[in-house]
Amino acid sequence: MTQLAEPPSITPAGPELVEPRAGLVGWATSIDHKRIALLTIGTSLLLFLVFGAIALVMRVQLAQPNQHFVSLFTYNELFTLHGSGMIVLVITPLAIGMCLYLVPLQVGAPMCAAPKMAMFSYWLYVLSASLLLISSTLAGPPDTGWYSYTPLSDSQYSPGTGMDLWVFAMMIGVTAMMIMAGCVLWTALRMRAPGMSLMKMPVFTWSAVVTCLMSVAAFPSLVAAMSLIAVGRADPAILAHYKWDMAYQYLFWFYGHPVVYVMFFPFVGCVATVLAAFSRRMYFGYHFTVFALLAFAAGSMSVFGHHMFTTGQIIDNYFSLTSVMLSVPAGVEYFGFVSTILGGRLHYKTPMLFALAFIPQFLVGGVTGIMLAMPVLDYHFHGSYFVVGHFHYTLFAGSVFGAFAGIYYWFPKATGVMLDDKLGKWHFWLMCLGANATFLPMLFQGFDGLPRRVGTYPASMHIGALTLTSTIGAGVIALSVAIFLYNVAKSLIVRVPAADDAWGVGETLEWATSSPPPPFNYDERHPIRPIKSYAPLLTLQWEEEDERQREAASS
Amino acid sequence: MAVLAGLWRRLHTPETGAMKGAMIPVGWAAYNGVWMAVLGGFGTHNAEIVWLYVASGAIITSFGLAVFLHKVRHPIDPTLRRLPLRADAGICAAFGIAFIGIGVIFGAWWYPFATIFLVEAIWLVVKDYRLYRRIKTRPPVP
Repeated sequence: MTQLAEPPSITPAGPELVEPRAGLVGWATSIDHKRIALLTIGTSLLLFLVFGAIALVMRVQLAQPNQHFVSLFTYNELFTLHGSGMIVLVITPLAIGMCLYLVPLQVGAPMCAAPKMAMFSYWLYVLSASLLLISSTLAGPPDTGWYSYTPLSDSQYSPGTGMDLWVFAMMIGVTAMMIMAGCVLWTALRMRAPGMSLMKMPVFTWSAVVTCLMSVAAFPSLVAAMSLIAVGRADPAILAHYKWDMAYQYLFWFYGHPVVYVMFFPFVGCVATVLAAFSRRMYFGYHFTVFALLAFAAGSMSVFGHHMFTTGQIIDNYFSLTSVMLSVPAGVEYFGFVSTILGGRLHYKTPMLFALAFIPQFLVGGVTGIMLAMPVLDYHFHGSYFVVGHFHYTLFAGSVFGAFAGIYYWFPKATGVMLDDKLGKWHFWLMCLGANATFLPMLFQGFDGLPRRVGTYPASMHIGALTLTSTIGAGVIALSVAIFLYNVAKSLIVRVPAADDAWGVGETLEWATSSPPPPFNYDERHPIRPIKSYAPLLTLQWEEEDERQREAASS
Repeated sequence: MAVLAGLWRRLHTPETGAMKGAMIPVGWAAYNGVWMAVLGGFGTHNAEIVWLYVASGAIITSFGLAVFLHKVRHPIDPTLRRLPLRADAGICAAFGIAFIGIGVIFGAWWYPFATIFLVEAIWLVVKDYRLYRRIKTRPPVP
């Protein structure tokens, strides 16, 4: 049991401070990082269904040429809601919510830093989601794309209160996640348990640290960009000069690129953790991976210009160099993934399947990203479905698979019950099939010249088979998500109890506490175990095995 | 010299490890400073982007500085001891801020609602702070 150097005497606090409230009010006003995180993750998954349903409507519209399932104006609204919702309200909160849940547990802290601020950020996020959805029902709904370039988004070209509300919703949504990320970052940097030095933090915690650094550094830029739109909407004449349009794009993409990394780094951490656990090995190349994560994330602040190659207002060579350079730390991370599973004793449980599928699928997203980082290719692909295929491979076939690896892995820890592994495998195989059937044809649709953000296309393009495949794939994804929901509902009703170390392969501190963990994470029955490495439980297990072997040999 | 040595000793407490958390954000800002310098090598065509780097670097460095100063003032983080309070103030503050924004869009009649929530939030923070001060010691982390 690890103790503080001089533990203070225990004096009972007032009962009004100690006793949590019961029921929904207790959850809504809790300072427990686990509850705040589960609320955030739950809300993001609920919104995933909403914005996923919007994507399905878009896919139906695009299934065949010259369709009129929805009007073209409605289509503009749908892709704006889908893009802004998925990025600001679904994947970013899911990523940072997972960090909020796991980081205090993994570093041995009893709570997160500034828990009231964390709960404040959750409610700000909920209000942001509500306002964004309401904005689509008002006059002048948002229909300018998630980036909402000026002057298209000013009040001259996009009049109405719907767009005003969307701008405000984006502002507070991003602010909420920035605050939550700050809480997680402070927890990792200042609230580690005795013995948990920085270089003993698990890989997931490191991925959370770099994620939160990016959030704190880049998210204020979107608040500034949205403020610029707000000024443009108050009086378009103020920002009439084209330089303001460029200023908006700089601000927007200074947020817009790092946020992509915010949306996948925690899931890289999930995948690394799951691969190591189900291979029964310590993560290979830990130190190199930590520095690769730091270099990758810090470098992400310098690559945003590749979104603006075709504006002619950016130094192409510089941003091409910085973007392509990121493939070096990415390669180090991949080397770590592959080397961890090579020679390991692999257990093909559902989390492991999602983690294994992440590796090649995310690679497709990464490699197509490198193609887009080269100006000569980007000028050709810009604004085409190739770009749509690229970022959906990154964010869905990559991030969402990583997220499900983490969700399946830590679900028993968070709820105390196991998910059904058989249903999980059905979910995995259908989602794997659906994701590739949806997004791989998009790359070819882009090759064939289909532009992004179009609500229909002529039959003369001869891409009907490809678009229909994408639509069928989207339906398969929806089916797989339905199986996941059924699995969660069934597990919560049947309640097969999970052990403290639910999978029997846990390597990090959270698997030493109860499932679910007690209010302050560790208590007298579940103390923080000695921290001797970045996989403390595995190290202890090895030491115990060595001890047993020595005793057997001596006897 | 003795002051520096004392400071160094306070920073290197065995409980929190040798590497310092503050170095991460500061190193991050420095790394981006290097890339900013490389940008300079490509000419001054995109000089305005430098302000983005500077602003972002300043935010991150401030965070690192806050971690550093907190570390100097509290070598063992006091929040490692349990502090059970409630987050009611957070909900009120969130609604207050949301109503301010809605008021800007839909009219000033939303502001009284915003005021009520924000005043409530401040009152709850003050109340919590007074309770916090009343607790002299708290149970340690096991």
